[in-house]
Amino acid sequence: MMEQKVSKLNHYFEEQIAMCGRRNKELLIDERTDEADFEKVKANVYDIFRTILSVAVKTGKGDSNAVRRFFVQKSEQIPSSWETAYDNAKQHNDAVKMRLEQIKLDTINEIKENFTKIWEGAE
Amino acid sequence: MTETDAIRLFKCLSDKSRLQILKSLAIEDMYVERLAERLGITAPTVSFHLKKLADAGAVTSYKSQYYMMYSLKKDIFETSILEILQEESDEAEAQAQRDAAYRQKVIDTFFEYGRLKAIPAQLKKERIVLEVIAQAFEYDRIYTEREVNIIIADFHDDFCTIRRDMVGEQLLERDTKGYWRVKP
Repeated sequence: MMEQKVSKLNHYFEEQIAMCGRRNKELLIDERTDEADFEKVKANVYDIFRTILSVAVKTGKGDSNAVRRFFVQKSEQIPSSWETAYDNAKQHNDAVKMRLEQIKLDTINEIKENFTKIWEGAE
Repeated sequence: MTETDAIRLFKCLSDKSRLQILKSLAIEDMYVERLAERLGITAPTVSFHLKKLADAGAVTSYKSQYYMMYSLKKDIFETSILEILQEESDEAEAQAQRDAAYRQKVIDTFFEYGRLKAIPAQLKKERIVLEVIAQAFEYDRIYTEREVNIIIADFHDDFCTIRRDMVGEQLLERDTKGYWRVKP
């Protein structure tokens, strides 16, 4: 059962990373370099949490709750510095930095939502 | 526009979304949401591009009622590329500063209380020293050889070598009437 959830999540991460790669290429061809970089930022976030999932599985040693706890804890812990960076950028009216941090935060929110759906078996 | 400003502007313009934003602003001043709707990109992405355009000096903003309006900085776009190319380069300015510093260092090394301590062996350094001595000569005035020797002797006892080298370096010219300072 847990293996299925992990496999679904891995498939989700791989799909998202591949999609970011495709969009990145399309945007580069369309001469939208910065927006192409946004896709790389998103892909990095997916990649970080794919790694976290594999670490969670390894350390959880077959305990589904332990895996979930580890993943949820990291998905709260890691973005806290992104939130701080976003707030700082907002204070300084730095729309460039704000956008980059917002992309990371939007991506992790999407990951959290999908993790819950998959782990709780809603899908 | 400095070279750095020009590079920043060109880099900023080499992006389709930003070019589309500028094209829209060329029609009329607009606010972020309007641009986002028009170009089919998100408002935060438009803000991102506008910030880059503002930093590059391509757009400016002003408040109008509830909206922050953005407009083209037309004077930037009225500058021709040829004008930018004809601007003196920052690197040339930095080079000039380095040259001036080097020149001052040579002067400080070879002069003491207005007297030349020694004639530099290096031609580049000697040229600088001779240029300093040449400043003691007025333009548009003919000097006899004796007058030239007296002026140079105020700097160094070997006035013969210095006088000959100043002619060789084309700082002084001479004919049968005498010597005169060459205008740069």
